[in-house]
Amino acid sequence: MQENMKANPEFTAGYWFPDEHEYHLLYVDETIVPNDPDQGVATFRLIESKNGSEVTMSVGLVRSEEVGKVPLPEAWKQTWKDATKVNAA
Amino acid sequence: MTWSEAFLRQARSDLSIFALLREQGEDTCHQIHYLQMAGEKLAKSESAEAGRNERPTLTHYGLSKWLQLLSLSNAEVRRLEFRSIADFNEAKGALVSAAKAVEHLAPKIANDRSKGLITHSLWNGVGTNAEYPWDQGGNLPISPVEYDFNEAELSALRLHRLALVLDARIAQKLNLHRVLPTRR
Repeated sequence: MQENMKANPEFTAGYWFPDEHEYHLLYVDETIVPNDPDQGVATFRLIESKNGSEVTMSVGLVRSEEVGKVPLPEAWKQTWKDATKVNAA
Repeated sequence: MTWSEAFLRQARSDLSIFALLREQGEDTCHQIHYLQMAGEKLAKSESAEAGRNERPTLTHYGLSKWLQLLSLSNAEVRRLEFRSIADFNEAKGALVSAAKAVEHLAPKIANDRSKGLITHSLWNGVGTNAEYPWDQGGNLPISPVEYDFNEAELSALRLHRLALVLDARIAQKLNLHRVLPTRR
């Protein structure tokens, strides 16, 4: 997560939602158009290769005013209360 | 066929029409329109929903968000014609700017802008888009075909680079050849 924030200076923070099957991550980016409050956070399926194995992630972007408010994807079992905040280095 | 593949196939077809229009020197608005549609469908194919083989519900704003989040291996960036991850990350800002400019030309988003729902865009508060005439103010309509789209984010080079990335990604995912001419 820190690596992605380093590569993307517009990401001011990140939120990790623990999940037993895949990584669920949201990054805070003030340059994006807000997510649709009815549809919730738009997330993408990304696959990263780490040390020879593939890691599946469901990743989205939010604006700071959406943190804790915008609905999370329906497929996620977590709530905002489960999130761990990671600050940009 | 999965939802992801269905969207990828349509994106590839949209991109081939973009290539055709560009080759024939057709009006810029039509080129941008097809590039925007190809990008939107590629982003939908990369959505978490499509990853679960569910119909994607992403809005028109998917392409720039997907590009912003894209994190690739060395092998993957080389398939997109970048020499290294560092090169790709350096170019990503310009790609995202071009993607935002293109997606903000969808009529729905132009409408959102004109209603003040979006306040940060190249075209704040007006209806500039690639498909329908809009009011320039004072009841003075203009057609997209008469507008020159000469903003830096929409330069021929930026659009070309964005199209190449979309093309390479679609070809890689579908295991098919690219529809745009590549470097030899």
